[in-house]
Amino acid sequence: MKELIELIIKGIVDKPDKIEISQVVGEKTLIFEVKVDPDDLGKVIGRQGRNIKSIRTIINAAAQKDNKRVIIEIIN
Amino acid sequence: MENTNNMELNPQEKAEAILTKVIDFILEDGKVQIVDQEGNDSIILEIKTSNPGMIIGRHGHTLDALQYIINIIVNKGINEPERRKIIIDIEGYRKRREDIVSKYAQEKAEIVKRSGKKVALCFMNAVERRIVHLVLQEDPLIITYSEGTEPYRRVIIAPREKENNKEEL
Repeated sequence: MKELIELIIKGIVDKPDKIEISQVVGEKTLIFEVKVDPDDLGKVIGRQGRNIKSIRTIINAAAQKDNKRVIIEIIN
Repeated sequence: MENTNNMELNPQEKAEAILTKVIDFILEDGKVQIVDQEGNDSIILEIKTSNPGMIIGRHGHTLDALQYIINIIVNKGINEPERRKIIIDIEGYRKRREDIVSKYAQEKAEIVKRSGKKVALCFMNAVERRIVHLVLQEDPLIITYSEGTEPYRRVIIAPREKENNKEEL
């Protein structure tokens, strides 16, 4: 799951080496805390949050087969 | 200097590569095929799988999110005229939706013509609203327009008002 988040966010930011993703494991829910370069924040979130919303939708499709829910928090 | 991220891949190869990687996280048996397009600037990719529902998602939301993100990734750092639109389909889903939406729009248009009252369709994304407008644009008895803010935006079909109608009332 972390690899997928990394793959997508790497593809949309300008500074992929500044991405930090850490995982907090819950019972049914996986929480990922994502940190990116401040200049890339807008790219990850997108206009009216459209980018991050799409990322969450894709990640939750991948999590579905493990019967998990994923929460992605941007913690800049 | 060229962006090293591209690794000399053209947009079509780049789209195919990234989509293949992403669907491998979602599907057991997903394969990506490039659909030959004639005289079309878009890149069309079709996903083949025994489990299309996983990618389509509710009301096609996952497929739309996937298409949106792949467009951003492939077109990153490319200026407007060079950008390529990427359309992602899966097991003929988009064509099937097009047929369903066209038929639904025509049925509702008949109701409007019979009753003389306007009808609001269900909420749709921009692509599907466009299908409705296109299907009904030639009909002289009705007009179509959209109302509301995404994702709660929908098409309204209304009887076309005649000039003399107003005077009679």
